This record gives sequence, structure tokens and C-alpha cells, in this order.
Amino acid sequence: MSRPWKILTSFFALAVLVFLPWVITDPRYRDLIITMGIYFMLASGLRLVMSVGQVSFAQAAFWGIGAYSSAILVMKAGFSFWLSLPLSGIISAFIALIIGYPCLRLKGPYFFIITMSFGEVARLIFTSWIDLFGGTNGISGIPAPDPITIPGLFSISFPPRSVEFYYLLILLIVLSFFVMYRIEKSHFGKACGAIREFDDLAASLGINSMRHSTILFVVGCFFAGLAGSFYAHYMTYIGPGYFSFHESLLFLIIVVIGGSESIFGIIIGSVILTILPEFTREARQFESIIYGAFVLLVLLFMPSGIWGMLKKLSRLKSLSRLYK
Amino acid sequence: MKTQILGQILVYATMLSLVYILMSLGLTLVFSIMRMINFAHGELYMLGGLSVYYLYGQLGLNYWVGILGAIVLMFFFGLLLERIIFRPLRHDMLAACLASLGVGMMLQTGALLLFGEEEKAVPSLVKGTFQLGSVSISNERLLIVLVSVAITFSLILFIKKSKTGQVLQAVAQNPESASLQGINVTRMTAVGFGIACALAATAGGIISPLVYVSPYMGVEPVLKAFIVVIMGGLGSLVGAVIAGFVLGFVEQFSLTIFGFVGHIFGFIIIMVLLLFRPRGFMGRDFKVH
Amino acid sequence: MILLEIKELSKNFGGLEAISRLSFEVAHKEILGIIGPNGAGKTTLFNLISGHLKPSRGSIIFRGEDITAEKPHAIARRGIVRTFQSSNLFDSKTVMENLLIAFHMEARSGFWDSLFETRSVRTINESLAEKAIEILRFLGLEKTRDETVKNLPHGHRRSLGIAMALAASPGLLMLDEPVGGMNPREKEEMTSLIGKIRQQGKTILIVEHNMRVVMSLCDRIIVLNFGNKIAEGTPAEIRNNPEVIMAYLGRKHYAD
Repeated sequence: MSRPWKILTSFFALAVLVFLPWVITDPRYRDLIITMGIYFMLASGLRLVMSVGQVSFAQAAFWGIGAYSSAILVMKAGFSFWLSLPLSGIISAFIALIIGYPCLRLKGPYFFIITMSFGEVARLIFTSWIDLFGGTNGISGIPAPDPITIPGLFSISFPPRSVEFYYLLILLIVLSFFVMYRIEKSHFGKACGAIREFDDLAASLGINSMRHSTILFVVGCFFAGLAGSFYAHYMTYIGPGYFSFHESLLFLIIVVIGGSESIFGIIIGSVILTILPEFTREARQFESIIYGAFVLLVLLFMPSGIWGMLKKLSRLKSLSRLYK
Repeated sequence: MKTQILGQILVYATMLSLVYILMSLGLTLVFSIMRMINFAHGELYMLGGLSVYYLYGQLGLNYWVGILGAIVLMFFFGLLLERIIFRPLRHDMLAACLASLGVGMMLQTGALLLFGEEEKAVPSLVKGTFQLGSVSISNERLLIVLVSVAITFSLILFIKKSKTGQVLQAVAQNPESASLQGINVTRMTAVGFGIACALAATAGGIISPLVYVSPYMGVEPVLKAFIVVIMGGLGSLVGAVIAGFVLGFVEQFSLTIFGFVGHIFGFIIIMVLLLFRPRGFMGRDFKVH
Repeated sequence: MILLEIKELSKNFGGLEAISRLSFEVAHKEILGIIGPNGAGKTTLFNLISGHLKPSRGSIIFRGEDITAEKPHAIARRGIVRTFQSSNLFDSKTVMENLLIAFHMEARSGFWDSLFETRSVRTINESLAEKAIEILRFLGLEKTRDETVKNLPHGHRRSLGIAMALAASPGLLMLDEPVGGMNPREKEEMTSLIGKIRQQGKTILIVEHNMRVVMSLCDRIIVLNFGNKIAEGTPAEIRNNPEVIMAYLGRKHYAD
């Protein structure tokens, strides 16, 4: 796509997002769209570190770290939400740096296990440190963001589950989409793909794989932290059960089903995994059989995910047009 | 009184260790042959438990016949899984791991659909207790400990000494040179996976009289078994045995002393170990590509 | 002028000595060949110099600075660039994409540069594309620029591997068995390609099985056997060295 086309389509997409609440007025559907957005932020963060070939099972833990940090900063330290939002992202990113730098030296199954262990440690700490994290009961009554007021002009407040939350999330999503898209298209992102394919060759061309992997991991966890902060104040309640191994698996499934090669795959994956449970509403505990089947079908028949398959199909179509 | 409590803890720690060891034997076998972490292993263990519940608890067959039935069933189920899912993905370790996740999810929910959610008790095997000083152990527990030890030993012997075992080892070490020696690597991989599934089922079946059987019974032990496998050194059976004991004892003691938070120690140990000695206790260096 | 100096280098693998107290020098603008039978430690030596393995003892000095046990990417940044024996590259990407990655050290590839693609970043990265095409033309690969690498024939992939090493603008180019597994025609093309690179005044270190190629290309040759240097000299001297002939006795096929 040429540059003007790109700008045009992004404006169009943005307009759709901005005007969506006028079309979808049912708060229940708005809730779904918000879930979709949170999934998108978390899964696209996970995809970053997957682009160097590493799979983290701690994404939910960093989401939780963001959520708890924000709740505690606002409720116990008296910070404004507008300060605690970026701070939660930074706290998540900082912990990711401390954990990631030594751990990213480990590859494949070793990295799975160490991130899984970190996730479990975080969950056990949330569950057991009752004074700070509220134990199994979690933290409830998390206040809404402070209203934004410009005296004499306007004032925006955030009633529970309101459309204002939706616009706040759109802002966060646009930010994360921008960052992820730029990384994907840049030389930096291409070098990451090179590390995944042949790390020794990449190193012999001067690519520092530790540096690249660490940056990706930290950026991914920064957005997980932001998503966590938003989630805490939107839900007004958080508990350790939300940030378990199984949530990390869910984000991984989003990436696999949508396709890890492109940020658009993550959009597709988030949409599918938000809508799918709606169809299995009566039998919640059975939905994972559908997830499982989905994962297997995608892995066996569309190795680069749904987005990868769509891309291939469109390429085939343009080829067949060429030879007509 | 003190020695009695200590004795009781030791007995429970041994039991816990054996559960972990039995689970990790199959996991480490799959890893060494297929270079893949099998996330469905906990569900295969659960299927073993459920098979024994139905064959022994419901149909009234002999317990050992029930276990044998579970072993045979799961061996063939393993061959099937390998053929339709893991063989097409054998060149992509990440995809195979993710596929095993998918398999695990389907098996767990499938079991939920067929058998329901509630926990079921498998009738006890033998009655009575065994007195060792001031510590009393139920005969059932003792029997299960002995059987688990026997299974562990025979598996290690099987891999080290039998012809099939040596062929499996050759495949695990270097598939290319194994196939140059005329070994049918594809078939042996399938057999290895079948054996690992049978092992998972054995573990579930053996343990079933001591725990409740349910579709979720494999979820927690398998996380711990991953730790044991890595701690012992990926692909090493002897390492897995040592690591199983280390984790079982550390966990049982810390759970007794600290309560629920005690679970944290296993995870912290593995994190520290991975950072300083990623090969584990007995592992070889290997490159993941 | 000495470019690379290897001093008393040793490498043990669990008691087995793969390289044993090896010392040699590579002079500026020379082509040095390292030969030896299978298992002589040639590839180990390569991996030690490029940082993919850590030496047990000894030191490696490049342009007067000690680079022993530095990380591979740091060594590449100092100007030692190697190729690999396997013809694998970044196989799922196109020829052009492979080359552009190889310009990593020249590209503006930092994290913030990527986020805010300023005009200067764009012009720098665009000029790299022109350079990449230039290199492809030099190697006669310009027609394949948009092909996926895994679909290229073996010989082309090896040339592309060398092209990528050249793109990293090496002070010392290390070639690991450049003609391994090639048919006679491909071998000839590769030999003339290395000759062309040499005319540009590059310093080259070659590890190779194939005696004929080494003899025709190199200024100087070192012969390894069981991790020890058994001979060093000009091709003519090596050809008549009795110890070398002994080491290669019954290994006629290396002379192909």
C-alpha cells in the first residue's frame, strides 16, 4: 500500500472506532468491545517477544502487576489515576526488565518454564500477601478515574461502564497499535525476525539478540501494565484468579489463531476469542473444547494463522488475475 | 509426638515425590524423542485415572486389570494422537507444543462433557494400616509407594537395557544417525509417544485410589511435573527421579510450615536453578532450534 | 601489518582437546587457508574466533585489541564477519530482505528510530537498498532479488551468504567451507567470486576441505590435525610437506 492510502485507511478505521458507540448503544456489546480491546493490548504485547521466537507464559502476571499497582497507587498512596496509569505500565516494564534480562538467555522450553514459574510466583504473592493485595478476596471498590476538567469549557467524568471508558481504551489501543506497527515495519523488527530464524547468523551480522529480545519483552509488558491499570479501574474489582496461567494461555491462543506475523492477525484473534464465548454462553465450562479444536485446526492447516491464510489467498487471487 | 508428625510429613513427601516422578517420566521421554513439551500430559494422566475409575470402580474389574486396560487404551490413543497431530508438526517445536495445549484443552473438556464435573472416589484397594514405630501408614499407601517405585525402576531398566529402549535412546540422541543405522525413526517416535501416554495413564491409574478423580485432576500436578523435568535436566530419567524427590520434599515441608504459600518455593527453586544451571541436575547440553 | 593474532588458543570439550595451543597470525589483505582432515578442529577454530564458542585458554587479538570471549555480535561490530557451512539463511525472507538485514550495523535500527521514522532515518535506509542492489549485481544475483531464499538453488544461496557477509563491511571475512557440497560448475563460480572479492583488497580466512580450491586461492596455508598446527607455509611448501601428506594419506577424496 502506498503512503496516502495508508493514511486514508487509518483515518477511516479511526473514524469507525470513534463513531461505533453511536451504532452500538447496548452496554452489553460495549463491554464486549472493551474486552476485545484489552485482549488486543495483551496479545499484541505477547506477540512482540514471540517475534524473536520466545513464548512467555507470564503475560497475565504482568497484566496483574499493572492492575494491582494501579489499584494500590490510587487507593493506598492517593495518586490520581492519570498518574497511576503510566506508572503501572512503567512498573510492569521495570519488573519485566529485571526478570527478562537474565531469563531471555534461556531458549525454548526453558523460557516457557521460567516465565510460567514467574507467573505462578506472582499469583501466589497476590493470593498470600493479604495486607497489600487483599489475598483471595482481591481488591474491591477501585475508584473511577478522576474527572478531567478544564474550567469553563468542559468536564469529562467516568461513570461505571460508561462510554468515556471506551474512548479512553481507544486511546490506549491507538498508542499500542502505533508502537507495534512501527516495530513490525522497521529495520528493528526485521532484525527480530532474523533472530528467530537463525540466531547465529543474525549475531554474526552484528545483531545483538539479547538487546532486541529484552526491548521487545519490556515493551510488551509495558502495554500489559497499561491494560491492567485500565482493567482495574473499569471493573472496580480485581482478584488473583483473573491473572492466572490460564489467562496467559488465552493470550497465546489469540496470537496463534490470528497469526503472529502481523499485528492485524492479533486483531482477528482478539475479535474471535471475544465473540466465541458468546455462543457457548449456556455452557461456559465447555468453551475450551472449541478453543482447543480451533488451535489444532489453525496449527495443522494454517501455520501462519488466519491472517497469514487471508494474505496468502489474496496473493493467489492477484496472481490468478495476472495470468488470466 | 514430634517424631510422629515428622514421620507423617516424610510419608506424604515421599508420596508427593512419587506422583511427580511418575508424571515426569512420560514427559521427559516425549521431550527427549520429540523435543517437545507435552502440555496434554496432565490430561492423559487424568484419562488414566478416569479409566481406572470406570474399569475398576464401576465395572468391578480387578484393580490391576483396570490399570492394564488404561495402559493399553492410552498406548493406542497415543499412537493415534501422534499420527494425526504431532507427526505433521514435528519440524516445528513451538507449533507442536501449542498443539499439545489444544489437545489438552479438548481432552479436559471432553472428559467434562462425558463424565461430569464432580470429583469421584475410587474404592480403596486394601484395608488396614502398617505401623512403623509411632508412624502409621495405610497399607494402601504403602502398596502404591512400592508399585510406583517398581514402575520407575522398570522403566529406567527398560530404556537402558531392552532393545526397544536402546533404539529409543538412539532416536533421542540423533535421529539422523539413527535412521542411517536402519532404524525406522518415524515408527519409533510414534512408539515412544505411545509409551509416554501409557506412562501418564499408569501414573493416573496408580494414584487414583488416593486422590479424587475428576477432569481437572491433572492440571496442578503437570505444572509441577514440568518443573521436575527441567530441574532434572530435560530428557534425563534419572535426573527426573532426583528432582522429583527434591521438589516433593521441599514442597511438603514448606506447605506444612508456611501453608498455601509454600507452593512458591518449588517455583523459586526452578527459577534460580534455571538461571545458574540451565541444564538441570543431569541434563546434557542441547540446542533448541 | 598484522590484522588478527591467535595466541596459544585451546578449547576443551569435556576433556577432549579440540584445539590445542594454537598460534598464528593473519596479515592485512592476505588470504589465509586453514585445511585439515575431518575432526581436525577447523570449525571449532572458526567458532572460537567469531565468538560462538568461548576458548578454554589463550587469546584472540584483532587490530591490536583483545577480543577473546566477546559476544558474537560485538565481534561482528569490530569487523570480523563469518559465513556458515550450512546454506541456510533467513529462509522465509526474500533475497533483498536478507541483504537489508545484513546492513544492520549501518542501518538506523534503534528502537526509537523505528518508532519515529524521521526523514533522516528514511533516507539512510533507502540508500542501503541501493547498496544492496549494487552487491547483488556484483555477485550476478540481481535477477533473484524478490525470490524467497528457500527456493534458490544451493549455489546461489552460498553466494548470497557471502554477499550478506560483505554487506556487513568486514575487516576480516571468514568463509566456512565456501565450496562444500557444490557441483564442479558451482565450485568454479565460487572460486572466481572469492577471487573477485580478493581484488577489492579484503582480508579473508578460509576453512576448506577442498585442496584444489585452497591451493589456487590462498597466499598462505595452515594445516591442522587433531587440533594441532602441523604445517604452515605457501601452497607450494604445503603440497610437498611430508607430514601433510601423511595426515591426508588415504583421504584422497579431499583432493577433488
